[in-house]
Amino acid sequence: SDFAQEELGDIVYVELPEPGSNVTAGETFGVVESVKAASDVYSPISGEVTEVNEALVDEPAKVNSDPFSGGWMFKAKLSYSGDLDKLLDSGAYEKHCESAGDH
Amino acid sequence: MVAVRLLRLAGVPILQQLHIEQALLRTDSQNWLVVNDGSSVPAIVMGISGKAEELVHIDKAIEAKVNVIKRFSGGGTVVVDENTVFSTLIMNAASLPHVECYPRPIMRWTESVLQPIFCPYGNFRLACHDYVFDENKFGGNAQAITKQRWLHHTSFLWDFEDKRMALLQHPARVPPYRKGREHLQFLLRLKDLMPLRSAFLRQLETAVARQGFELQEASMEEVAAILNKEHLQTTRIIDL
Repeated sequence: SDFAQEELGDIVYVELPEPGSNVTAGETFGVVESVKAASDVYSPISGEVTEVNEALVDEPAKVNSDPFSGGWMFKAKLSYSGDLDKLLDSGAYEKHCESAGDH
Repeated sequence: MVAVRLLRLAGVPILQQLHIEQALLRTDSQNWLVVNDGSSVPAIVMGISGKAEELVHIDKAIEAKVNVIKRFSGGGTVVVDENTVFSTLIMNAASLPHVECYPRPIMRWTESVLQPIFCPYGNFRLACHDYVFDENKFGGNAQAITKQRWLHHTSFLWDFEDKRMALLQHPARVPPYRKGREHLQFLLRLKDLMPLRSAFLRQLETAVARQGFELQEASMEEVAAILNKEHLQTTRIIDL
């Protein structure tokens, strides 16, 4: 998300899952490196990875510059559509980040 | 008072130390301070994104019989041996509610923890995520962050061998404060400033305790049980 990329700093490396592998909602699917830190990234859904954004190998900074478009990380076939109901839309997420910033 | 388990090591090879750290981070829920007084086996240690062919003089490393390790945390490449002092903090974000679980807030906090140790010896600061006196580096930092729990480890150059440092190539990304200097020109040996290595090791513990934590000594038996738990273990020696 845009909030996360700003807090993490300039992304210099992205490690993504292999196509064909499975991801689990709330569990780690990969790693990003920024500011000398390797930070786990968590999958919002469970499913099978169908495609990863290879462009991030050479241009990891796309995660910072274009988090909601060119900085996409993976596509997956959902194993449980109910996972989507638990996600925040952009408006709700913005409110969540604002309240997190207040603490 | 919040507890921090204290693991004192001496001469443990860095590969083993990193395996311990990754296990403590991923399978345990306690806070930890690990201090290792030297690595008995010299090694070159790269961060998670490191590429040996870009960072290491491979032929020289093979000739010197120095292994190249890729660790699980971020950051740059360091040469470690018996003269390197290591300290590692593994903390639950909940134990430090005023420190956001992101790289820069964590590093600002760890800098503040160590200030009392180093300020008597010079102009200590965090510069581009390195610990420096003025513009000379004596400590390299790296971090790993997972699910509201983080690890911050530092390799301090108590002393070093010039010929081992020469195994490293000039990296593509260098901090601005290096100002084009060769590696040996921008490094600093702590032994040239601080009187006693043993005192420095104790000060690392005191600095953490001063933050209001209760240090509780842990044993290798306890750590061995944690190492045996199933967990993601990615630190490895690179096949050159």
